[in-house]
Amino acid sequence: MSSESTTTPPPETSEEPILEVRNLEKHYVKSTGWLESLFADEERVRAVDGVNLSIDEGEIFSIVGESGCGKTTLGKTLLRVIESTAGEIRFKGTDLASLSDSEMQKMRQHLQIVYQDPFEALNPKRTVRGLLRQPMEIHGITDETEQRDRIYRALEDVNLLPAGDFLDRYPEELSGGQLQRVLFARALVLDPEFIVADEPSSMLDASVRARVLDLIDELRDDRNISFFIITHDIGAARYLSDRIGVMYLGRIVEMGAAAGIVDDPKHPYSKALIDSIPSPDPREPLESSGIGSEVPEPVDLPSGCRFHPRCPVATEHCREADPEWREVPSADDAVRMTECHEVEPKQTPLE
Amino acid sequence: MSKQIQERSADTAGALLSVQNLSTYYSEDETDVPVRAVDGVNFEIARGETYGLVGESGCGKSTLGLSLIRALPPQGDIVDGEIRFEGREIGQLPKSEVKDVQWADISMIYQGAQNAFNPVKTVGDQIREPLRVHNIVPEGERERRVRELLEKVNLQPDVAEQYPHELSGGMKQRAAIAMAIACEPDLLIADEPTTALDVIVQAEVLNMLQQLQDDLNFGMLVISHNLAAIMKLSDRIGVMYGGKIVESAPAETLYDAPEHPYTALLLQSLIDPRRPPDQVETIEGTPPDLRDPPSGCRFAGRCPLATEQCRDMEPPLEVVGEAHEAACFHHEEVSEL
Repeated sequence: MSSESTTTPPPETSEEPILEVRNLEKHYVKSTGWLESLFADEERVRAVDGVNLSIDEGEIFSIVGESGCGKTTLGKTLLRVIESTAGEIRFKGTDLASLSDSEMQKMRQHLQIVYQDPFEALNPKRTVRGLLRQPMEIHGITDETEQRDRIYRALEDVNLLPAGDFLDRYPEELSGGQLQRVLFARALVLDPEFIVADEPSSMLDASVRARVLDLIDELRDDRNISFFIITHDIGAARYLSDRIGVMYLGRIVEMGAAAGIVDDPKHPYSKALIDSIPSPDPREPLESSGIGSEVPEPVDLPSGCRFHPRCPVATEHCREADPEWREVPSADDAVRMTECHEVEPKQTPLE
Repeated sequence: MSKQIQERSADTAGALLSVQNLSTYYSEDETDVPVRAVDGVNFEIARGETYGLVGESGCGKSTLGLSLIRALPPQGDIVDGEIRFEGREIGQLPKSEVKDVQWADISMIYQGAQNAFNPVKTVGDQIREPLRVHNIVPEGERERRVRELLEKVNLQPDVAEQYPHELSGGMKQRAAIAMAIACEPDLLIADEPTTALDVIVQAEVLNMLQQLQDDLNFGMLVISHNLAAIMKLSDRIGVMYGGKIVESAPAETLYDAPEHPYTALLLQSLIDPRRPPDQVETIEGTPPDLRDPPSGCRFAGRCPLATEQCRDMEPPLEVVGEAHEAACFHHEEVSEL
């Protein structure tokens, strides 16, 4: 360990997190016309702008936020589906950015991504068997018995039973919920340790949504897979996750235990987001976020706290100074981190 | 506001919209076995009232909305029943007369409306279109009217000069609402008005629809699979399954004491993040094939209460309480689910 270890308390367990992200950035240049580009400065879109995060083995972590907050870009950057601009991504201690393309290709077996729209993500001309065999071919698992065993185990684990009945079916013969499970099975045949799932439940009717959420929980329990879930469904995030991170304009602005974040949000943005979720009780009045709905583009970021133009409690100080990412007290015993000038930091007791 | 109207609407004799025994089928040609998307549906909407229609994808709820505004795709046909709007039968109106009704009397915020704008026309031009067709506002005043409409949906008036791609998803949805209310319709149909929008925009759109209804007193049909949103907006709710309305009741009644097992299971599949359940329910199985629906209750195949009787006979929609109807032989056992 570095000299830091003398000033920070030792971690509770000696185990390393499965994924550790430091100062991750993904900036890209906004495409403009060539003529414009001659005269104007290029515009940098800061889709992910300094994210720090660590996910434990067997943990389900969800990232929530409005569309355009950068959560999908973050998820893809974690697995180098999109290359980061700066920062570190350590998977079990190995910095992914340092890997060559072929080394990264090998590493991908352990790190899978499940995309949100099963209708788009699956080739309609392949049977379930073909769809599940394809990733194995790519990763050099060519032994037929081995392939067969992995396919059956994956289909059983996602509850497509009896597995044999599904092998020769085409995507159009399956329901939305079944397709979603085929997508998971396709990741599982490679026996991954970490899965990024992009909106796994948002395309599904409420009646089948729960089944996909329970499936993720079972996969964690049975296969010890860690999950990074990208979602705008805060209900699903709370039901399913151990921890939730709230993202705004490229940064995680609050992070903590799932129940704590929903019941007792500290950052004004988290509050607004949670206040706007409709409760089904018809007697309760309609919800309102109180912050308007226009998310600025992450191009000309405001000075100071990037949430201040929409923030109901912003002060002069918020317009000038960047808030610090720090631990704040919370009603639950879990660690709560946020960056907001208006939230009092946790007092560290003197030793 | 509209919630209180519900008490008045009960004794309003002439409903704004009255739908009786409506059936809409889809078929490619005459030899094709039709898909019975809407199959004998009855309901009424009073002025100022909001009726919510909820159900899974493929249950026929969007087809019902498209039938009312007579905007079905070419394969779709109203094969039976009546649609009375202010007493006038509009279900069989010839195409030429349908245009007079659309936008001016009944207008619709179509599913995915935020993506339905013409990309090469300004937002203002597109909102102006229904005003021009119905000649409701003199030409010289249309510009002003468009700006007023944009302000009504909390958009800057100069959005009129912008193109759809310059607007966010939420702004486009608000522009679609402005267009739908341009001719001050008596009935507004909103098909999945909040789907694909994130929670903050969702809340804004729901509040806006409520506010506009309070101001303009139109009747509203809201179609969604989002039960929480429907519960909030609606005075009355119809639950649709396999082309039929299987339960209808005032929102509070439906929330407190559903009498159809499908409604009860839908409610149990909701996750209210502030009061999360320990276990969320799933409805096993898949909806029926509407080309060849089962002879008995269409929900029987997925229903935990189903008996032999349910598979043989179709349960009629019956009065089970005050202003409350359900189509289930076992409705008295639903509370035990």
